[in-house]
Amino acid sequence: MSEAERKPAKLSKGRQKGLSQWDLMFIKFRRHRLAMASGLFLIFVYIVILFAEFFSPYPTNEKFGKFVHSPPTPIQFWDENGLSRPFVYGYKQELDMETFQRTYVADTEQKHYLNFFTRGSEYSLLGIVTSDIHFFGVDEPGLIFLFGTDRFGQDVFSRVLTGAQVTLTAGMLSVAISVVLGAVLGTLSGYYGGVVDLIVQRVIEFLSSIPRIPLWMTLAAVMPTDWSSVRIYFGIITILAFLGWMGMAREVRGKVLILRSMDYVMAAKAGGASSAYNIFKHMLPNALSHIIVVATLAVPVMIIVETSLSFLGFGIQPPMTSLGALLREAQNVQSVVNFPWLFSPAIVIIVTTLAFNFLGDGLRDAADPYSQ
Amino acid sequence: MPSETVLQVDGLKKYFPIRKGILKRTVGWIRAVDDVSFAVTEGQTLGLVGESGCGKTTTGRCIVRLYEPTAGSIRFRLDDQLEDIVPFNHAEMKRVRQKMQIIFQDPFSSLDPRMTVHDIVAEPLRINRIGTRAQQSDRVAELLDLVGLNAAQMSRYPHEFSGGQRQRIGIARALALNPEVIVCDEPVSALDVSVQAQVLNLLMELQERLKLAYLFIAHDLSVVEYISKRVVVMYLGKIVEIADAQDLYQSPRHPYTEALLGAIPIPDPLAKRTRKPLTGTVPSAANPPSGCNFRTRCSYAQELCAREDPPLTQVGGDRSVACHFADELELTGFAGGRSSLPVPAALPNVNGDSAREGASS
Repeated sequence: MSEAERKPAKLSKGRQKGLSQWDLMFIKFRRHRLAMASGLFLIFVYIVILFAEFFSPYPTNEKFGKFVHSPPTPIQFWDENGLSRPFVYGYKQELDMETFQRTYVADTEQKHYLNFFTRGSEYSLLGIVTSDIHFFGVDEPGLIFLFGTDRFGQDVFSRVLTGAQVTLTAGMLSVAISVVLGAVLGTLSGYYGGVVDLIVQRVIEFLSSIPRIPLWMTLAAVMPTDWSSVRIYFGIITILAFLGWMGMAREVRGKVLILRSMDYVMAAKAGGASSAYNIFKHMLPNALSHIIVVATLAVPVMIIVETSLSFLGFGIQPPMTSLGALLREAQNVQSVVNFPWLFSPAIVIIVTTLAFNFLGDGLRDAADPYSQ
Repeated sequence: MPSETVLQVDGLKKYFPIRKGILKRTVGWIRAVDDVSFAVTEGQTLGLVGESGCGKTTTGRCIVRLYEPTAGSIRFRLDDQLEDIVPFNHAEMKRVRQKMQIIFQDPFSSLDPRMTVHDIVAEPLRINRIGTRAQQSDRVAELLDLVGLNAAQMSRYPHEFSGGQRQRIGIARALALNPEVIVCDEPVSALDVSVQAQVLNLLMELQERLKLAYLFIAHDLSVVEYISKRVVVMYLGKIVEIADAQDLYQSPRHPYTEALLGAIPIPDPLAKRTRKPLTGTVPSAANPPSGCNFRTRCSYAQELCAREDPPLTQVGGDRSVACHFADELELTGFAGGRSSLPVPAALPNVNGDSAREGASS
């Protein structure tokens, strides 16, 4: 054994490089297939919603008056000659004389081919780049509604993309704010203890005892109605964050309480280290993986809360839209039965929250790389 | 000879408050360390033994000021004079910390898992801003070599080392500032017996080379006997006996010391011995018994013991005992004598190089 140690197998420049704890975590995370897939899926989703205007074929508020409550357009790959490049048929509107419902029938005479990177309406991306190139579209005068249309004839697919942009970024940003708040207060509370701990803990208990939905509604309702939708968006994020940091603060406090009594913190103290040194060099780096896990699992909660608020009408206001606001379209029985495609925002919510939970699960397992 | 004393502890007390209720009112005190006095001599080892919860770790941590003592003085030799370090502030303590370091019990929690061995050993240098980065690296290599580790492994992380190797890293860190006194807080208790001997021998070797003084805390009397010149036996926050290791071992004067000696295993399955094993557990330090602390578990206890707390009194030569009947009791020492101590006797003396254990990774 000692012979083998003196002749190390891998000697580069006389020094051996070890695997850091982050390396070990990544190795362990990669073994968690579901979490890995969820992570990649979420990256894909966030890229799409960041460039929502580019990926959506029509502007969010463009109304196609002749195509109200149109079902999703099927994309065709076969025509009378066999396999073809993808196209959609034109639409004909018919009125059912018995139920007085509008029905749409495909007009097989008209074929509109699907094109990628086509020119369409002009938009500005993140307020910086102006462009009129869309990821996909069909030949004029054809129309493509992947998720159908709503009661104003607006393309639900385009609206889901912009709605998801608002909801999913709001979830992320509010978690980011609450992480900062929770980490700072949790660290202070855990490290200094005593009166600081007492105050922070009682504040957390008080805030947690207030029923959430009514409080959110009240806070959302006090936002001035003449605010622009962007300001309301940031207002909502702030409200979510200010009421979401408590769980984070508790988690961080618990972690700091454990780390504070670790011998390596004691050793640094015995070497003359200050509190700031111990907090920034030992505690935060060691609590970070834990914080990331808790934050990841907090994002889906925030998404659901924003959705609920907007669904109830207290959140995002028109002309801005969010997944929750879109779901208001599907509030009544009539739409449930006749226009099921209006539920597509719910599917987006379910899939992304599940993905976040799976990802958080995998991260939690990876955060402790020494366990089996 | 007072000039040879590097550390003099007098009347050290550490009480931890017991808080209850929402307002955290103090309802009582845990007397973890209750009036403890001893001296550590330059270049020598003072052993400190006792069961878990007797206050030995608290004593060690008070001395390096990880805990604030409730009362008492801790005088440390600075510029050839003993100075009380208890009133020192953070800046003044820096001078002391460079001369007094600590080694911890658990080789797993004592090393930050996110730092490389280099950063761990260099940490005291970095905190005290000693030397340039290159000088610090050279010093780390020197220290690793000193404790018998391969300096080429300094970019590795603690999880790649075995328990014994990790303890060596902790020793290297304690040596970084060239201390005169090292508080060894159960440095071998968490290790395998075979590795224990290697680490103990390393500590003794370092003591010889660097003229270190140790306050060696342990619950295992055989380990303490092996390394110490003098031994302090603690029970429930108080000293029950102080004596030279040899004397303590052969003829204990306190019933508790006798019981501890009786608990040392003999590495001979055929050896016959009469034991008086201790029964019960250590009473709560928040609510100690009246009179002598040890009377609830002492087989020699009499009515006087419940009434009066025996003071620590000198009994012949250089030893003190806190027992009313120290002069009357006939107590048995360790049967086999010092040479048959299990730890050193079971293993050959291992020196520097061959003390390296194989890599765990």
